[in-house]
Amino acid sequence: MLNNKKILIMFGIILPLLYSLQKQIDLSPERRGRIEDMKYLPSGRFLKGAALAYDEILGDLLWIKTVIYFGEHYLSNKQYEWLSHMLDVSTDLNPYFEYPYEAGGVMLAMETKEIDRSIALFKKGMKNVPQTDKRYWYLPFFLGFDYMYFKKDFAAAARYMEQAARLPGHPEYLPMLVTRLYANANDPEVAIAFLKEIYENTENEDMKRDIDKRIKEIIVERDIRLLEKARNIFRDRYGQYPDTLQELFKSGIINMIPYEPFGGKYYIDQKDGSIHSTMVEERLGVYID
Amino acid sequence: MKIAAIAINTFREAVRDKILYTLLFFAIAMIASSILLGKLVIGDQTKIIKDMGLASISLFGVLIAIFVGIGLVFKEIERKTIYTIIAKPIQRYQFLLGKYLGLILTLVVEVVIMSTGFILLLFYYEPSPDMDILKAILLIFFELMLITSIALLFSSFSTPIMSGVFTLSMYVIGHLTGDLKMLGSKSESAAVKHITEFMYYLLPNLENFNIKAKVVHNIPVSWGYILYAMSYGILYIAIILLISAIIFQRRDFK
Amino acid sequence: MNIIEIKNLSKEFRVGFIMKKIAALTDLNLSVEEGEIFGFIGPNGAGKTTTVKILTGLIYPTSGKAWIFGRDIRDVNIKRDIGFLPENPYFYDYLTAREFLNFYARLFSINKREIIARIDTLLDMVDLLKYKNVQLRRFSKGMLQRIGIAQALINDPKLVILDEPMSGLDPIGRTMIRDIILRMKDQGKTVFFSSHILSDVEMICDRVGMLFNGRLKDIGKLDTLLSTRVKSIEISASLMDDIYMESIKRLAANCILMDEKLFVVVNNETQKDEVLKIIEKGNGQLISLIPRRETLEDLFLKEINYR
Repeated sequence: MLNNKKILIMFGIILPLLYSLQKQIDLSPERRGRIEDMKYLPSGRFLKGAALAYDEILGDLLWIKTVIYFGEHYLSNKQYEWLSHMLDVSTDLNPYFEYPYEAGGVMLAMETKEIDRSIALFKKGMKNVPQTDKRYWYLPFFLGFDYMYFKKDFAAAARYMEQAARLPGHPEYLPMLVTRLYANANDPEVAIAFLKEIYENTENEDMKRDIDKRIKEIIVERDIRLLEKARNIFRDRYGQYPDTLQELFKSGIINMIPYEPFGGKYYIDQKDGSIHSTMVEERLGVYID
Repeated sequence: MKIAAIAINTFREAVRDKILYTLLFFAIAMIASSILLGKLVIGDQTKIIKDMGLASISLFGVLIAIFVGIGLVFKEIERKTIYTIIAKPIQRYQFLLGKYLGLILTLVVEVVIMSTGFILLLFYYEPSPDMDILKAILLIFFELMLITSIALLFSSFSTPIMSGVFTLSMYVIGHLTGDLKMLGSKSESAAVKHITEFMYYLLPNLENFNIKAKVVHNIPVSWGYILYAMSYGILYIAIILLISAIIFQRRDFK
Repeated sequence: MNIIEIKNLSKEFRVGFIMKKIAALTDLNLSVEEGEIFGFIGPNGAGKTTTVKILTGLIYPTSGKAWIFGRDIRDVNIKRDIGFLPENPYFYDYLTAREFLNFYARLFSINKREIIARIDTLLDMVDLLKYKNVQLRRFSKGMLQRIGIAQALINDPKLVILDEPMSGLDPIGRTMIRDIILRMKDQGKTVFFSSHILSDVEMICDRVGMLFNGRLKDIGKLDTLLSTRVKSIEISASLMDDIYMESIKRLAANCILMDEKLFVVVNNETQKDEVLKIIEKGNGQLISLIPRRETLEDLFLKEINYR
């Protein structure tokens, strides 16, 4: 017969066994790479039918998985093979949910450099998300950013930014930015303002660090361009490149040598007269016409 | 011997019940419909057939395990048939075990019938299909046994509707504990981390039995893994049956 | 050794959401001797079924103990020699009569050859032999009750416990069950059965226990139980002179004049004798003298009025 002692002994034996078995199972190759099974993730349009009436919740789950997928790979190998597919499916399942479009679009643009997919996702979001959504303006805003920052299509960028600026909830400076964008699209100041807005709206600390770095890089780019302009004036005036930046300052062409945001210094290469930062090896190509 | 008598009687009840045939009919129909679906797909037809076949075996197995399982003990109490049994020289846990094994026997027959249909279909499409699908079916069967034990546990103290809800929730949760743990591990709160970790090891992890996708895509699954998963299933079932027996031993049949 | 021995048995049920305690059985003491038919009577809800369920292990007592064959009722092995028919039994209706008995036989680990022979004997005894391959779902209430009894006897038990075996049956069915119970007694079995139908109990029981609201009110041999009660005697006589009539009226519990006859009811023998003397003195003619034996029904009603 079952008595209490026997029952306790049985529990005492079986429970630890179960625990260690589960650990063992989790370690086996059959269980690893579970999330990467995304090649079996069918298209969202199929899932919408197959999920019966639970497509929203399925979309939510998939969205959570997507965030985890992104986070894991961000910290490890920075390979995001399935990211855009997962985003596509989860937005198919949850078409009115704004956040996956916004965050997903930013992930695709900033991290994986899949600009076309980012643009497509923002456009899909603008089509599906109701305009009454409080964060709706972010969609044209980031879309405009994509066009400006990566595509250098300033006309398109200005158009979407303008759209964002007409929507409720946009920040106060946005109309001004739009005007400046129309007037002087190729202006690092505009990019810095945008990035600062993105920085404020990002919760992920790693992302924030990344954006902060990007802002500083653009500042470096801006400063270098400024210094290049001054160098050219110097050359036109004296027929030769200056040896040091100090000369530019002494000659009164610039009234100060800009402060390098990474804590380094700007200098002129004696060989070809090009200007560099001690901290940034490669210049950002994107701003150069 | 006494347990076998109860088990055979339970099996006999299930076999003489029309619901079983209805479910079996739908299962076979679904497997057969994979032929049609397969035709719509360009390329790998057998993949669809395997997907559908394994899904049908699993889905209809779960339906039978839950629908029959939740009534297993409750019906005996409600119809007072248990009165005459308990008055016989049989321990209550023997009765419970007999009921459980009876349903397992039913599931064996059901899974064998569906698998036979499924494998015949595969042979029709491929001269020598990969027999690793048998591994997948084996683990599906262990999952079914585990679900049956959970249904029996709830059925030993609760009404069929409540048991059904509970068992179905356990089935869903059992497939999500892995995600639960992962979500928890991303949390900054240590308490959440510990709770999700604890739940992960406490709740039945039904994903252990899910190798369908691997098998369908011919990704090798070692016998070592199968053995681990089966041992996990048997031990978990033992715990559940033990708890059921304790509850069942103490209750009054009013 | 008593076959059943019950000491201070109590059972409380907790009912409803607030788990209110309800006493179903209070401090029951009872013993059943070997070879007797013991009738356990009481109105519905008196606690008869509760007692039976405790004895068969379906529910556990809140306090008190009980022994069967001198062994604690928690010992499963005593059930080898017990047969039990629950109240309003429902059986596995998808089984045929033969499969049904075979199933129960296997719970006792009786060997196969013996099973077959015993099943036929039992089916014959309860007059169902020709229905042995019919599913129970086609059985009438009376047939089910009989197959239930056959089930209770499958292990050739020493003690048979029957809970309301006659309820819901027609007169023929009840006679049949009564005969079967008497036959069990002839075979040396002890029978413990509960009923609220008193005539059945009166006809076949050696001893009865009476249960009201969970308490045992009376227990004993039926004769003594009834004879200790004051019986009434009905006397009818021809009319006499008023003097005599008046003295009879003073003695009698009840006295009426009807159809030129005198009807007198007295409560005991002495009164009867005195009334008869008066009748003799007054030259009256005694027409009839009917002792009215108190029935269980009266006892029952008295108990109910008493509360």
